[in-house]
Amino acid sequence: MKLYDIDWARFLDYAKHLEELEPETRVILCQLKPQEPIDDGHFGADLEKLVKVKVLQPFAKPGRVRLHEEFRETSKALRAMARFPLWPDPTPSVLRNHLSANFTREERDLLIGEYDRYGYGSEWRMLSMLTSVAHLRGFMEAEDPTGWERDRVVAELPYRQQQSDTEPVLTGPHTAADTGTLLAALASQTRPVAFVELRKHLGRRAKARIGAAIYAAVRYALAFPTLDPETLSPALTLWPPVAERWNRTPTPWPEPVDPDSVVRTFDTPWGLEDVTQLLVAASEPLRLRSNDRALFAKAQREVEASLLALPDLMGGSEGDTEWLLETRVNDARNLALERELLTETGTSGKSLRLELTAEGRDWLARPPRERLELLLEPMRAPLDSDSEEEEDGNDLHWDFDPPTSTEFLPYSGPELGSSKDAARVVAESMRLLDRGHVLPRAHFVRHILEGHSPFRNPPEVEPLARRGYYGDTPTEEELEERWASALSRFLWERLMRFGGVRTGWTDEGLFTIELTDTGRWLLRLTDDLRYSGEASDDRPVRIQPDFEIVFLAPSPALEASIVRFAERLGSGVGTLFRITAASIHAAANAGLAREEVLSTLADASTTGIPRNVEHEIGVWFDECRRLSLEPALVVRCPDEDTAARIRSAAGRRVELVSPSTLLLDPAKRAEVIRLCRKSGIFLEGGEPDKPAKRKKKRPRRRRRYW
Amino acid sequence: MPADAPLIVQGDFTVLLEVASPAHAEVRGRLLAFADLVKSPEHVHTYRITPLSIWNACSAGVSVERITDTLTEFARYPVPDHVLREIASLGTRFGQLVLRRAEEEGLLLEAESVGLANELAAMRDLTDLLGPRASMRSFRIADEVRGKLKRSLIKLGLPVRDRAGFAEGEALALALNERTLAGEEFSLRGYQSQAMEAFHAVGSERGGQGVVVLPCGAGKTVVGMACMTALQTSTLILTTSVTAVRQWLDELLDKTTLEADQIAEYSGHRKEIAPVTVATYQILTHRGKDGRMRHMDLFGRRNWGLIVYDEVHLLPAPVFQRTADLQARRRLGLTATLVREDGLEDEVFALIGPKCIDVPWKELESQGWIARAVCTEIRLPLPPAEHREYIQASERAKFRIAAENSLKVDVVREVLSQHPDDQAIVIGMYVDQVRLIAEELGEPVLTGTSSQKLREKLYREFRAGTRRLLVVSKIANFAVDLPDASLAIQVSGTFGSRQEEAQRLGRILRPKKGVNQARFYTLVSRNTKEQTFALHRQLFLCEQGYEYRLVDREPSEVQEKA
Repeated sequence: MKLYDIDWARFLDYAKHLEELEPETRVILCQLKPQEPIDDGHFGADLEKLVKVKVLQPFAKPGRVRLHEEFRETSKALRAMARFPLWPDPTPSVLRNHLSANFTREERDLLIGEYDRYGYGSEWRMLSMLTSVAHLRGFMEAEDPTGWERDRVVAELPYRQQQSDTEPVLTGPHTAADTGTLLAALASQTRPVAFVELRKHLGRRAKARIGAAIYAAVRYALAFPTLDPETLSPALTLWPPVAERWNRTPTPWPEPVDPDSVVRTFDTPWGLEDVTQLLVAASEPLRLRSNDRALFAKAQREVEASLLALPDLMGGSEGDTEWLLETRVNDARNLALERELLTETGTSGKSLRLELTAEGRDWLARPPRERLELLLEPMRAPLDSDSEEEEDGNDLHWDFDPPTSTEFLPYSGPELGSSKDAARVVAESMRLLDRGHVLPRAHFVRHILEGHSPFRNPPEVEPLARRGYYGDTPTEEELEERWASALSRFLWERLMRFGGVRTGWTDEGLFTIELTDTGRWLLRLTDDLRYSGEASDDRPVRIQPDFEIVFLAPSPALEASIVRFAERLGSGVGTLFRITAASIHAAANAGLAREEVLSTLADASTTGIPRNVEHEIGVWFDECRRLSLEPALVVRCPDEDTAARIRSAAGRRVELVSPSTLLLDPAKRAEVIRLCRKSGIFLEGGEPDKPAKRKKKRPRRRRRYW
Repeated sequence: MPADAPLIVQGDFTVLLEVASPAHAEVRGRLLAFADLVKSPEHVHTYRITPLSIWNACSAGVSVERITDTLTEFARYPVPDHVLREIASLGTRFGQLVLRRAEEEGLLLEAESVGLANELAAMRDLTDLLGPRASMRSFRIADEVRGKLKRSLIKLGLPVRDRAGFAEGEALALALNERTLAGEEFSLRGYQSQAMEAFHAVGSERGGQGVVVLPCGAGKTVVGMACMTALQTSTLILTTSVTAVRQWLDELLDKTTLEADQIAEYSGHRKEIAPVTVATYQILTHRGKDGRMRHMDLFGRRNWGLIVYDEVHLLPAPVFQRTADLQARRRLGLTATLVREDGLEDEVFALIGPKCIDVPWKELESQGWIARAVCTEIRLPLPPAEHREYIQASERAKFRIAAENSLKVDVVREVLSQHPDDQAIVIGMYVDQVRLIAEELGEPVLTGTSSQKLREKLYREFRAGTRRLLVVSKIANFAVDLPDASLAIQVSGTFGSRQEEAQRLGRILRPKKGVNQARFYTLVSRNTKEQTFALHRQLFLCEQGYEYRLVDREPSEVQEKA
């Protein structure tokens, strides 16, 4: 050890004195360097005491002091504690710095009892293991603490074939036991224990024994010296999350919330609405960027604007945050592509488009329940293990892509993967919601997290836990983190996104959840999907005499149909379209007939089409003509007589467009020239254009830099 | 949320109301209290909630809870959160600042909290307007900056509840007649009494300022006169044209107990002042050779107890400026629409007053107080020679060529013959065209150059029923009262002007005896620029809820019928 290689029994003496000092004096002592002189005026009334207990040493010249030689060692430790504040917000980088500053390389390499100097990510692995409760438990539950220490103090370092200079510290007759008592005392506290308080917890042990126990605990990173940020008192603590976990008691099943206290609820399957809106938007092909195949910004903005706004507490303030909208569009697009409701057409770099497929059009025309069912069917929970499929002999634990895999889990990672047993555990946990109660979300998740982790039952899930770690066993904290992530993603991406749970908020701001019929179906608690969705008005459209089309109920299929000949103003419900001359002209150009437009409108509305709208649509269609442009040659004659002579010579090969202007087909140019020549009329020019030669690009002169 | 609920509240603060819903009438009434009607086509009406509409509602005593309850109770889908929050925020802003008369001299601006008062003190725009603090929550305000302060605060999004009261003005005894000069019975209609009561507020400090919104032909002049009788004070009436001035004078003589010597005209023709003076905006804003608006001092030439702003949506900016200094006078605005082309609605709110009443025209139509109108657009071709000219003309000239289509006169004749019993107006934009049509029909013409005497004579004959047809240029767009006109034929218009369309239609909306039906024809040259502009007008009329028919005339058809 480096900075903390001190006599901790002596430190305990100093700690007592330090406690009696003014806060300003403590600040100075935590910053003062060993040889640094300082005006004694800074210490005020504490000066005399500090000199007396040999913390400060006056210079010969009055008015200046410095640290006493005997205190310098303690001072180093104090400054180290100030530099690495582990309380109240410990971070891995603080720990990393603490270890670098206070431990030799060999000590660090051996701290976790596994020597792996050149292993990939070994340092971070060491940090995660030191911050795991398993590190503490390893020592506390070791039958032979000296054996535990032996793994961390090897005589020969394998990578340099040299002797280690690390020495064991649990050598005293009581050191191991005292260290255990010290750690137990620290674990029983929710805050760091001040050094002056330690004796209270360790009974009547001699100071030397306590000092040895502190040294051992610090040496093996079981305890950490730190300063109380409020009082600057030196204190000793376990790694705070370790202490918290050590003392953790299982979270009981949450108390149900009174449904009457839930003031707002939300259970709209916005995932379904997102796909619907994207498909409606794609009924006119959407342009894709060729570099990343993302939607063009304008189309992206339009689709985002059409998405259902989520309540504040679901997404962000006033609807959705920008990142969430972008994610929602991407998720909808991926899902639609997966279900073949959309397709990408064109080639990369040229007219790349996202288009609606025939299946997509058919899907849009279905009622909401069927749309939801088609979207969610592959996402339902896997069948129970006693079903026929399970009996076929699939390897439950190691098959990464079993034939019966589902999309039940929202992501595939090496920890949980698409394996069915992980899915089963998630499904079983979520089925606990089916008790017909409104539950506080955070409490429920904590209960599931702690009590139903698949990683807590070793024989069954051990293989899962080991996946992706290439030989390293993850700590229980890491496993819990992944389990939490899996739960939270499942809740968000499966249940909340598709209306599987009804979220709610109480007046006190408690976020609640309750399983819905869709959620029950998704979790295979029922085979009957009950979802009515929006109002089932099959003709929800009103065509207004001012050419606007109002949707009184959402109808994606009609939206997709009307967008072909009307300008879009919005989506969902409200004023969604306006019929204009330009939109009708574009529809005509796309091949739509007047009758088709009128019948679509008439079928969509119970109130019919206003007469003026019908009339104008007809007028606008009638205005449309499809003509082709052809190249032609014009002969401008000086007088009408010449024009007549050419006509007489060339016959029907030329056409009179004015008394002295003739038009001829470029293909007959040579023939007309020949015929006219016979009559003494010499036509010149009008050769077909040759493609212009491309100028050879001059190589760019290389710039010289010398 | 009931599936048949009539409202759809959108995130952009527009509210759609389904007309076919059984709850339509009830919801419309509640909605109009806090939202502006944007358009009312056949099936679904659109309203917009704006800060001003909310403050108008708060001023009329409608609470925020009532507003949000209406929306949530009648909405078919959940009302967006941010809409409810914004309404609550706007609602709480109204009433946070109150202007009162100080006990000693001047005014007091009282803020709801010390924080708000501090905020006001820190605002640069208010530095010159706020006086010293009277307390931690109030400032002393000079009388002369009352209007400017209100205007500045409304621009900062802080409406002021003006409780400073008004100067009493010169007393004037007047009452409404029970019979008109022609001997017909006369009384206030229900909505007119309601408008007057809303403005007057039983003489309390809450009343005495505000805007009455009634459709064309609903009798806004009568409401103005009713307010005058309620206040019994000398009145300055400002309107848009000399013709409108004369109509006000006629109406005052016809329907009130005022004598001819108690009323006066202040216009380009006459400059007289009496206890009731009717002036034009033009004369007030007329600049002399020195560039000064000399007639603006009319506001101070008498101790007016009430100023009436007719067609307040046309109020010119200099009159606004002057009105800002007249906040101690009672002010009444009359209009068919609160929407101003220049977007100065907030100034109307701050300087004239909040909306007192807004009666939808459909309601008046159903009660028979205004005529039911049918709009018909007749499209006819350009004769070949004019078509050739049209093709070669510049873009600007094209519109005029199309508008002056020589076949229109034949169609006018045809339409007139179809409705032989209707009193008709033929109205156009181009003087040459209306002259030609008048000549063809053998009728006199009224244009901007016609003498006031001729105008009066022809209008009088028309009102008396001795003249069936009037051929007029755009001088008849505004404030010409031709109660029995039931047929208007528009031969040309100012491009796509919606306001002009509304005003022209307004000429024929007065209730008719017998079948209460008005017909509005527009003649348009087919496949020309005129048709493109006519589409804007068509959209506007459809948005207002009028039935709009389109009729095509073929060349042969026109010639044959002619």
